[in-house]
Amino acid sequence: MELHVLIVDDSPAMRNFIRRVLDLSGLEVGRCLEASNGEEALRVLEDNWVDAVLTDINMPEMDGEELLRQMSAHTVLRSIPVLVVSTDRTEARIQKMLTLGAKGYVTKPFAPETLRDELVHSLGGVDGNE
Amino acid sequence: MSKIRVLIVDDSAIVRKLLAEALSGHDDLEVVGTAPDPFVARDKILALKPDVLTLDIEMPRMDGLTFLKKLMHYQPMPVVVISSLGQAGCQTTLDALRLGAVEVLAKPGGPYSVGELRMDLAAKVRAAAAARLRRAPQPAPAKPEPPPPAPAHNSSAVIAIGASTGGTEAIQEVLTRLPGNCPGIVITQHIPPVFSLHFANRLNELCPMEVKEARDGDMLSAGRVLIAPGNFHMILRKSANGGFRVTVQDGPRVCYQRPSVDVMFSSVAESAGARAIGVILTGMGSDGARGMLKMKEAGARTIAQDEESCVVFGMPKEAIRMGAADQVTPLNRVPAAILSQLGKIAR
Amino acid sequence: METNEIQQALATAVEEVLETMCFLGVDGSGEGSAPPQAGDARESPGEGDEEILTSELRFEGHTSGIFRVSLPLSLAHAAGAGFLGLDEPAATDAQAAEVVCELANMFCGSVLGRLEHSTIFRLSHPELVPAEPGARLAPLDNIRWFDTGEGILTVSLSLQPEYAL
Repeated sequence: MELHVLIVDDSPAMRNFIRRVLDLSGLEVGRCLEASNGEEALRVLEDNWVDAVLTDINMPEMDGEELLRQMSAHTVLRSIPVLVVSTDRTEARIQKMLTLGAKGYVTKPFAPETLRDELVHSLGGVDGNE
Repeated sequence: MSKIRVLIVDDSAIVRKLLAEALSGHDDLEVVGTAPDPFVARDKILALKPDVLTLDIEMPRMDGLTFLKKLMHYQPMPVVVISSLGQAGCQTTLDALRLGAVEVLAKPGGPYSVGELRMDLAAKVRAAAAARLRRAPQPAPAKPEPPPPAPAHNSSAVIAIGASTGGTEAIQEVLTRLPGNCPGIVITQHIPPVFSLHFANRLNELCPMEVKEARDGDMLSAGRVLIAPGNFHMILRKSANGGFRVTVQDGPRVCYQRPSVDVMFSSVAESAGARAIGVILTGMGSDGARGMLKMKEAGARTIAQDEESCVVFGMPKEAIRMGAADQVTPLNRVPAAILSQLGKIAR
Repeated sequence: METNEIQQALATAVEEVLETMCFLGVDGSGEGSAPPQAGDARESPGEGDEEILTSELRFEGHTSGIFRVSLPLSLAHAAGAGFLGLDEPAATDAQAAEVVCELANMFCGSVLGRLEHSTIFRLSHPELVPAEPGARLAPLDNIRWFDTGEGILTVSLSLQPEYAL
């Protein structure tokens, strides 16, 4: 099985970094889609069947918090696990994002294994190695 | 004619094998793949582009309903739900039908004979392949619209409704828009046993009238809806006091079906004659057309669902072709058509 | 917030980001804008007249202020190559600049998270400060230098309400 993911971050460098971490993670990553803010992410999600969304919080146009809100209110998108990847490590922020429906939270900087483990965890323990 | 390409999604290797074997001997069907879970299923759906999916609705790792929602959003295709007969399985199956699945099959094993499975599964896959799809799942109705204030109805009249593929949703739409004091209604929907009970119970919660799975000898009265139990025919008879009661009985399949709409309609033609209204809704095949013709010949008023609003335009098409339908109408106008015809039945 | 506390947070955050995201080790670090042995106390880090990249962002929350990171172009290229997984010369100036901004974002978020656990900060988008010859940036408080072996990087953090978003 292949994992199809959407990476949402306004920094192309960070999207690139995350994609590289996933490539090297040992997970079988299929399509790796990208969006630079929440609005773009919702457009991508409308047409593409992904298994997980990795999103930054602080982004122009629509931030990660609003993206989570909109996904949670959507009959289909609500069931796609969201992993927040943010520089913000304040407890208040983490709690807020988890309350809004995020399945996991990784703070930047992160070790590659941390991102991998949190992603697997947010997918309900599925790691693609049957 | 090209073959109907089927993908089997089931977490049990044994069930996958059983289903694949059951589909193997049919010239018009081809199993293009199997998947043990929704993740693999998604990859194979995108890669193999099957025409029909059989979906085990109770799987570990990702629940079938969630998968179904995504499927109907991203890659809508006809789905035959394979479900156990447990309480949870039946509820989930009804939810799946609401989300856009079009057929239901009880999980093989136990009482199922291999021969029955071969016939039923193939028929359901064919029906599903013929289904027209809704792109987005229908939002579950929070609360059905309150039915219109009920005029005094002719309580000695009978309404008979027959349906198959797509029928559970169509029946719900009709019943929730009829008033609670409507004349007695008998319904034959092609649905496996046990599911019929849960279907009746759910309708009972949603509708203003009493809805129950029929038992042999049940009286039919105004405000009551009787649904034929899976695997049994339901027959309407005059009771001694001038009212109606139903007989629920075994018997050979008619038009490959048990319960059969033809059997029910024919009995309504005999017992209620001109005091009946016959309604034939969405479904594969031709069951009900002959029975509806008998009803019409006995003086009943008959309504067929139109092609545009049908999931599968089979049974109504056959009824129309045979000249059995007085009126052809879209689903959302069926309740009004029933009420209008009721007013014309002499007291 | 204590100066010591801020210096400690800067030290930990910057080292962690450089190591985990850019695969750059830190050989030494200390308060101020340059290591003492570098001779004269220059405002900007780096050697000679090499171009310096500076990125700034503002933050707002329980406390507000401004965060700045400066580093020589060669170090930005090294960090960029590490971050992007490229062979060193392949990192363009534009990529290096982008990475510097991302570093500023991560440094700042990481520092604030260490200083304040219970409030939410809003961070502005990090922006590159144009390097105009002779122009001097207003000095900030809480400056700290880091020697990466590839060049000296400095960060500074000023807690000043007037810098709020």
